[in-house]
Amino acid sequence: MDGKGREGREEEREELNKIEMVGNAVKSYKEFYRKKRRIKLAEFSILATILIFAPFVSGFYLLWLITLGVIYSTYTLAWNWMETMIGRTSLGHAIPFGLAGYLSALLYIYTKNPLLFPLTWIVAGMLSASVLYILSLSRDRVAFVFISFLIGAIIWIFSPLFTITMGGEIYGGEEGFSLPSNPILVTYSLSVVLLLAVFLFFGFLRTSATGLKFTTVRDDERAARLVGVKVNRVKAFCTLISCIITALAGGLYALHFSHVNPEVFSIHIALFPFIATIFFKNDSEIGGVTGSFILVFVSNYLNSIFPQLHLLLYSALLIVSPGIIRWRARKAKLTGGV
Amino acid sequence: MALNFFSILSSTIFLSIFAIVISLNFRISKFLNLSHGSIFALGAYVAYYTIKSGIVMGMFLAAVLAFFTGVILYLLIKKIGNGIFEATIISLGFAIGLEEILRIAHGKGYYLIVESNLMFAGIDFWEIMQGLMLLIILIALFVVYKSKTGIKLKFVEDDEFLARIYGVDYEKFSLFCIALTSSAIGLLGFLSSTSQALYPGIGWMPLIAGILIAAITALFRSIGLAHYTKIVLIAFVYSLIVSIFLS
Repeated sequence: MDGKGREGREEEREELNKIEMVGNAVKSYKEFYRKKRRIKLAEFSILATILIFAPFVSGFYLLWLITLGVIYSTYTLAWNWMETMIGRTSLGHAIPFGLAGYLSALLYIYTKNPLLFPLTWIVAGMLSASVLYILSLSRDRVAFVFISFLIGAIIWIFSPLFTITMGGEIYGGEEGFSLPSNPILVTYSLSVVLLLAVFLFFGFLRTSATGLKFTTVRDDERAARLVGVKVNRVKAFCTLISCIITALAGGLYALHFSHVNPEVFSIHIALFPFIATIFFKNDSEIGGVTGSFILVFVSNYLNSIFPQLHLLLYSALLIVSPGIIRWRARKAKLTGGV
Repeated sequence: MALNFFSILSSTIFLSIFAIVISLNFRISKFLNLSHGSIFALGAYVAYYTIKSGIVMGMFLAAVLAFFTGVILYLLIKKIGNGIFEATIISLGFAIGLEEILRIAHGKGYYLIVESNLMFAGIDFWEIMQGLMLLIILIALFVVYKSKTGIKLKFVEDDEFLARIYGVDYEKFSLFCIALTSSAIGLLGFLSSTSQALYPGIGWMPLIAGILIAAITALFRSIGLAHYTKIVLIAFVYSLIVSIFLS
């Protein structure tokens, strides 16, 4: 009787120990994410301060270049969101990026009303998201990369054939479409607001319980399904968010140049976010922004030496990218990073 | 508008070669070789410089240059890449690099024209050569698949890992596959250079069409020579559909 009682007490103590251990783990996990959030907030503050003061200290050309960097950064973050949340590396993100510009240019030809542009950007994002979502339903992640690349490349190749005739004049083709020109400060302000909002949204969602649920889809779809995560719903949400933000960035890109042509669908645009994130941790928003800015500025410098010389840099980075990504993963393992 | 049967046949031959080459790379070397578009452009540029001085010499040069380009790609993949995704990304980077080198080398003359009016029995000489090339490729595949090497090749196609365990020299097969298919595509670029204006990105469109044809054929899950014969049939259907749309 006495022995049984002692056993029972020991079992109870063991149970309590287990509960305490789990509680401690949850506590330290929460603390870890709180710390992460504080770091992200600090990064956001630094970025916001730099971008707010940039117009006051930059000349026209530098501001033009920074605007381009801001637009590309938003594009990179949106692309990276899909990669890090549902584990889909898209080489077809030039579709929402370019489609937004094309749709707004078409709308402008017919209505001459630029106020409706955001609507066309959202439509472009939703259309592209539906295609990428269908592709993401398959668990074959390599097939997703190939098929998204193939669809993007087909659109790029055939987009010069797209023309419309209006009032006896032909628009489109290789030349593309024109958009109304607008002051650089307007494009800059819109782009900065979008980037900061996206930065904050992704940063906080990534460190929230919802974000954690999303990443289970990236890590193991079957396991995620088993613990009750609605995998397809997560895929739909992440794809939609990623494509709409990419389309918004693409729309701003078209506005920035006041022009859009088939090159917005090019492989180089599709590859930009992949290259911009090679050197940085995938779940780091500031990494994506830094990579994009470096790539925009270095590309601009190389282009000043010889037109399109930056593509040689893209080529070299793509070739060595598997090595760099593996080195980064090894380093993260050694330093205990996620 | 009536369909031009000769143009459909010519397009079938051209796309069949592209699709066979892509499929061979995917099945034996186990990656989607995206550098073929640029190697095709390389062959066409070789034609631009050599066609006047000697066709045989030019064809030989295009094939050899493309062969060694393939060897470089193989070495890069072996050194850096691991698995289908990484190898494909490396081939994409390699393609962009090659295309840009061609662009930089021809900075001013962006669109180039290769002039040649060679005819044989009223048919364009270069198209006859492409037909001959497809025939040689199919015969070579037939001979290889019927030989002892063919059994090893089928083994590699089916399961590369198991083939290695059973002592098949996979690396040798992979190297020769990449180099020889690159050589064939370089030669195809040379042979079709007279039918279009040259620019460094000339190879993207046939590459994408070739990938589509190879992917559709892969759905039939055939192996060996039957697979490559089906590629020719699918390329014919593809060319027919495209010409119906264009007419």
